[in-house]
Amino acid sequence: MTKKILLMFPIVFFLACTQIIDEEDPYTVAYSGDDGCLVCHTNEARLKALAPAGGDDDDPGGG
Amino acid sequence: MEPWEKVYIKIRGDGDISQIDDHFAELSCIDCHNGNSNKPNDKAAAHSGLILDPSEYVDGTNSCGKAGCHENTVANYKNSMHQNLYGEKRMVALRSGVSSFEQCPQSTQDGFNGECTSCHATCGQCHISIPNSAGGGFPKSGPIYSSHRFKKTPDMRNNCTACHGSRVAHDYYGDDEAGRDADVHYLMGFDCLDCHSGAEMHSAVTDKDNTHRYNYEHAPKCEKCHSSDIDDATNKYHSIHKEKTSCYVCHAVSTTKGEHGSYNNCTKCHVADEWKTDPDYQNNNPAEDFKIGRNPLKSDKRPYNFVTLRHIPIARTSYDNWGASGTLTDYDKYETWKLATPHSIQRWTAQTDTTGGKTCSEKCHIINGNNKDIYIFEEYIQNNWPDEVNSNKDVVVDDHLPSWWSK
Repeated sequence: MTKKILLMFPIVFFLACTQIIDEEDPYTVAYSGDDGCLVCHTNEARLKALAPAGGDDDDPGGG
Repeated sequence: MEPWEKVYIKIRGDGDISQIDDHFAELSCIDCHNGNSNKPNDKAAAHSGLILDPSEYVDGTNSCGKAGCHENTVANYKNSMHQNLYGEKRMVALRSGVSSFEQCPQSTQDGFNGECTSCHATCGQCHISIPNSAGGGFPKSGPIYSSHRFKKTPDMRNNCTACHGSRVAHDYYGDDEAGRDADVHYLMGFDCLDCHSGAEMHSAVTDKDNTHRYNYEHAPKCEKCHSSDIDDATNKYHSIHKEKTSCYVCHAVSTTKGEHGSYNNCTKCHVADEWKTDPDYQNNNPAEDFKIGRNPLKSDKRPYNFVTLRHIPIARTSYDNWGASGTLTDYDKYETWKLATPHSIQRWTAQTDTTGGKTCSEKCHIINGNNKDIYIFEEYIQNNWPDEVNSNKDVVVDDHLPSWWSK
């Protein structure tokens, strides 16, 4: 298990770095297909407009 | 997590959705979720007929169980304990004086299905999103979005302990604030699935009315990894105790003994918060520790005389607010101090740590009244929960300790 974690660390670190670079331009429409669902659900700016905060966050819990 | 983040799919590279997960090479969104993919500019129309969680069972199956997909797993999981809470239903039935949950008063069934089963886990709540009871949405770790990725192995934090977050998570991960050390398995890098297999989660229960949540085919066993330690004849503690006490009796961290942390008993939270309206518990200070008592579930797999017990939040009046007042007719027959498997395992606990030359007997056996507080006696129940004396007569240790101990 420890070996697995040590091997995974560089990969996770690399992915995290590329993700941070991506985050610098969040409003780019990355999706190239024509599925209408994905046109919205891959577009951060569009989702922020259509799913405003405070709508469905009541009582998240866990037992 | 913000609402938009819960449904956000982060795409990289050339914009091909199938790069996120192989499922997307063969399935479009509407294949599982329904809705209308031709209306991206009309939110209401796009979500018309939306199936929020396609892995919820409808008429005995779900989207994951379609032909050519995961038919067998879905068919088995439909009748699993994890999906149906059969173990809990069994105890509700037995305390109600009937042999099957379906024979319980309708008010009890409705109350249970309305409150208790809200935690049941669908396929998607383990393999795609965070469970609904923990807020839902696709997991996000730091800046990394999981983006509706299908994970063969659920994530310990985002999935397992998102639900099992009170007793299990606080014990297993440790808690600096409470002065609780993490479980040794966690410190060694083990996650839940190392002990709790996919077979345990998915397997169908064949006798749902008689399956106990701690006695079933795929339940984890310490012996699976530790058989050589347990059978090591040079370890006199093991050779003397291995068939008399469960591993937890010695290796679970006890609050009462205190030196290495504490155990998070059910009533620590249920009385202080969610179950405030339950007067029987509100008026009696809960015990936060496990106790060592007699084994209420003796079997070939669990032959021990003594096990760890936890005080569960069930009173004779617990279902009154469901309109089921007076229906727990067999409340006195079933223990309220019930088998516990604390996830607070240490090699050295207050029971096993013999630093300074102390013997195991000094640390755990009752000699001249010492250590009496980690065992459960009828007097203790009588003083704290007199209404539960009859329920626990088969687990108290009063007349069952070795005769050479001096109480």
